[in-house]
Amino acid sequence: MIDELSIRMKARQFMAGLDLSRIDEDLSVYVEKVNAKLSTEELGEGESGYTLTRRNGKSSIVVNELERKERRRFSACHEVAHLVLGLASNHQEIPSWSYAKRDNNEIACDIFASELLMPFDAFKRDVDQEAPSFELVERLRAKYVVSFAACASRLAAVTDYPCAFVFMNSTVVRYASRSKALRELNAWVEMRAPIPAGSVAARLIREGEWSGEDAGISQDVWFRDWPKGYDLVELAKHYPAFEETFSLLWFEQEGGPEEPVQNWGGAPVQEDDGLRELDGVLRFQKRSRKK
Amino acid sequence: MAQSSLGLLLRRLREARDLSSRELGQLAEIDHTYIYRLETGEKQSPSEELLARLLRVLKAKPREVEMAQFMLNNDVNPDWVEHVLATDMTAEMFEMGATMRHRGGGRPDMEAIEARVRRALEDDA
Repeated sequence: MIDELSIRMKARQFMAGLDLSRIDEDLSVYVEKVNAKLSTEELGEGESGYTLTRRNGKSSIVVNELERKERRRFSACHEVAHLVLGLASNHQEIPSWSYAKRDNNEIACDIFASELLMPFDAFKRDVDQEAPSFELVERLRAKYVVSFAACASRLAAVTDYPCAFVFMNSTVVRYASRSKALRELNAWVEMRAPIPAGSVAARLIREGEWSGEDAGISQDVWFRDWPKGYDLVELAKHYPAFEETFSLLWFEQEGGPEEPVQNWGGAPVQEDDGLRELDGVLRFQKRSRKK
Repeated sequence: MAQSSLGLLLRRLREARDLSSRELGQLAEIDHTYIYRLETGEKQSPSEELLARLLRVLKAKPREVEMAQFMLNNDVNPDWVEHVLATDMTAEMFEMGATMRHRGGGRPDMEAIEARVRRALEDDA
């Protein structure tokens, strides 16, 4: 299991003392710290970058010049992560978007890269200015020069709102990023499960629409084993050509449970372990009031 | 049976000397069935002393000795070993290609990796 907090702390240690004022244009502050040189090349389709390291410790990081700027920057930081964390590449041919199958080393490097591109202190200050929204994601992605998904995922992780960003592919939930406040409420989004039927995301797919929102999505639609109770705000985007759907969910301030929801009496060992074992005992001990 | 990169190197060196596993075993004073298992990947991670004895009998060149020592502690794609043996690449080039890190789903073929390694070293010159 990936220790996300530990990876983020390593990234922050790596960044400590560096001048981050120009990282939106120039990543050399990171690249030089790992004794590497960054360049671009025309690489094959699907290959975003690679790193070669000599015996003297000097490395060459190369990113695919055919990919868009946000992706090239993420690839460069992902390669820096490989060097800092000392992690090898997984040599199986797995699409980078496939969260369900990706190697732990690659996911760890993605987490590290997101920290480099969206430094916690500055990013959190920006996020705290207003409530979550896709407009805020768009503004921040432009400022930090990152992809929509990377920015939304980070926003959900650092906001003080009980909030989650969910990435779905081919009608299946692939990845979810949750804020500390939401995790503390015992809210779990089921990985590898079908997109919940009552969600905005499911409606967009069903009706072939590109975007939608609803401020009255019952909390039990998204969170595993939760009772009905409060309503969530859900904003969703659907890209039929890529079979990708994103949802941003959150409780408005003072609009969600005040205490952890007692769902089934314990946290799962791993978020992506699939369904818990059935034991015949209903554990909805406490129902939150309906707003 | 899983292919072993070190086993592949040892087999290629043995074949180049035109020795059977049994003959190599006799010369190195190692059970020939152990040599067979090393070559097929059934046995991995021989001791450094045993590996050195095999390489000495096989008259391995310095490059091949360095490759074998590197493979004692690192997983290497057997296709890369095969490719390097057919070229004049140095042991450092072998290690660079073996430890190359990728991002994304696409994977370059062995010729492309060789070209990248050479280009990286030329950039330093």
